[in-house]
Amino acid sequence: MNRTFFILAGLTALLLAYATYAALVLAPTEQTMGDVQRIFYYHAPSAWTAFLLFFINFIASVQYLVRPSETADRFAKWAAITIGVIACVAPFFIPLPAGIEPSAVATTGLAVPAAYLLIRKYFSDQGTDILALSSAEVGVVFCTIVLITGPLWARPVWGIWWTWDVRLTSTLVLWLIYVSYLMLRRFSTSGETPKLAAALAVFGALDMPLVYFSIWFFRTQHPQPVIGGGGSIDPRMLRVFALNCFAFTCYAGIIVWFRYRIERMRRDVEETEALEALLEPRGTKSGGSR
Amino acid sequence: MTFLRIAYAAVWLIHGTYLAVLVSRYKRARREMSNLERK
Amino acid sequence: MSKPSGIMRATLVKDLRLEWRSKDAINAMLFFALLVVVIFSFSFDPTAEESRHIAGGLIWVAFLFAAVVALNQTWARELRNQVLDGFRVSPAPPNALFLAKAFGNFIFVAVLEMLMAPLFVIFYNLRVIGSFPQLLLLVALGTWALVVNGTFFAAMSLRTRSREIMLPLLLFPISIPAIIGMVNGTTAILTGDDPALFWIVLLATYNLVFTTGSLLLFPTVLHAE
Repeated sequence: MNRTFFILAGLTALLLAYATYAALVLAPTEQTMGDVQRIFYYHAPSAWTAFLLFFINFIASVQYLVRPSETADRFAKWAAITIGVIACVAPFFIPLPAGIEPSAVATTGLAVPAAYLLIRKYFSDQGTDILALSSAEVGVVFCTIVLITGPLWARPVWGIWWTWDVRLTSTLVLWLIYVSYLMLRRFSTSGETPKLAAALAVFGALDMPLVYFSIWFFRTQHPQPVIGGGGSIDPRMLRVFALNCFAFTCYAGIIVWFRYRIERMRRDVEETEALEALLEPRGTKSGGSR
Repeated sequence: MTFLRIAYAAVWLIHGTYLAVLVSRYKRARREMSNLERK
Repeated sequence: MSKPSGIMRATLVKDLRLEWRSKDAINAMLFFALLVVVIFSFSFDPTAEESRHIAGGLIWVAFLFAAVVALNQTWARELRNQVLDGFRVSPAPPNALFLAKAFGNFIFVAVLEMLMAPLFVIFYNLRVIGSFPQLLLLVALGTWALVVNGTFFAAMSLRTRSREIMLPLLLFPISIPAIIGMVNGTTAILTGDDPALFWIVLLATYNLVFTTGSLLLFPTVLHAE
């Protein structure tokens, strides 16, 4: 790992420390919930980070699948750009469901072509796959944290550990899909595991809207308590929340970078070992692999 | 222990465990690379 | 016979004939589903009124597990005699093979459902209060939803350690919207309380999305070494 990495890692650590201090000390105490509400400053930014990482995994997986074919590659590129354009224009003309800001849709929509084109430009074939693997792994770590801090916050505040509402259940399903992704990666004996995993990631992404809608409709028919409800938020709290989002995103970036490098090294070692085994002259003891 | 402390501790326990796993994988990869370079 | 439909039909007929001769899969699936029903009936002791509300879930859990038994052996036969390798190098379109396998599985699971349905009606004293044709449509859509993804993931799990466990691990998370649709739609029709239309549309959408996805990505999975 080079020096830039260590400098950025150090800065990120400081940033995280300050963000935690802000969450525990600087942020005002919530009126009804008390100090327990401070879990929110870890819970929600972790959710944001997990979704961002899974998004990156999806884009990288699509890239990995379409790169071999020129037509597919071009189609995907223009699809991504079209999504970005539509997302920038449509929210200002089409009525949106309550609570959703047009600018939020626009920035989210812009992220699609931005991420796609950046990954396409700066990552090689193998690099795209390693990026997919790294972001999925770190994403599962953050998603696990979301699923653990959620109930720890809910129990003292709303009296229940868990409820099968839209957000929580969808997050759980997302976690399940990506754990199955990691299991496929680990248990696959195929030489083209990256392709299989990328196909699974695409299936998972296609699935998530359906997951959300099916649970949403079920819950409108059979309503149950919702935890983590809305309400207006104090601007000081919003600032601490944003700070923690930024800190955890930087932290995720550092960890993904680290995981990426480790995977690169591991694959280089494997390749070198394979080459050496091939080049060993016959008759001598075969090389030092497992 | 309040739920707040448990939650924050759990977060850093999980992150810390993952970091430790990554560092050990990194060390092993470095060791294997230097073994190969020496040969 | 190099037309896709010809290949599809030939493969499908071959699979059905082989299965008819040995009846391996259907016997295993049938017995397994029966066991699941019996064990569930020890866990719950519903009145006739209550059973209408929970039967939907129980039925589909039983069908899901039995379908996994069928799906696991989908490709096993092809692997044994290197038929799969032969298919890979032939100029035949991979999707013909996929559809043949998927239709074959659909028929297996549908037969199972037809055999199990009377047992469920008997054990849980069921009566369909809602529309029966709707129920048939729902069951057909739900079965295809399980089978299309199941066949795809069965192909994906071919080259994994612990192949039999990998299939449900991959299939179940992705199938969750379909399972929600099947269970709630069945409950809605059995109890007659709620309209099942949304669930039918959901399942139809799910089938459209994942049949397309499977057809697009199956060649990649088939050719993965």
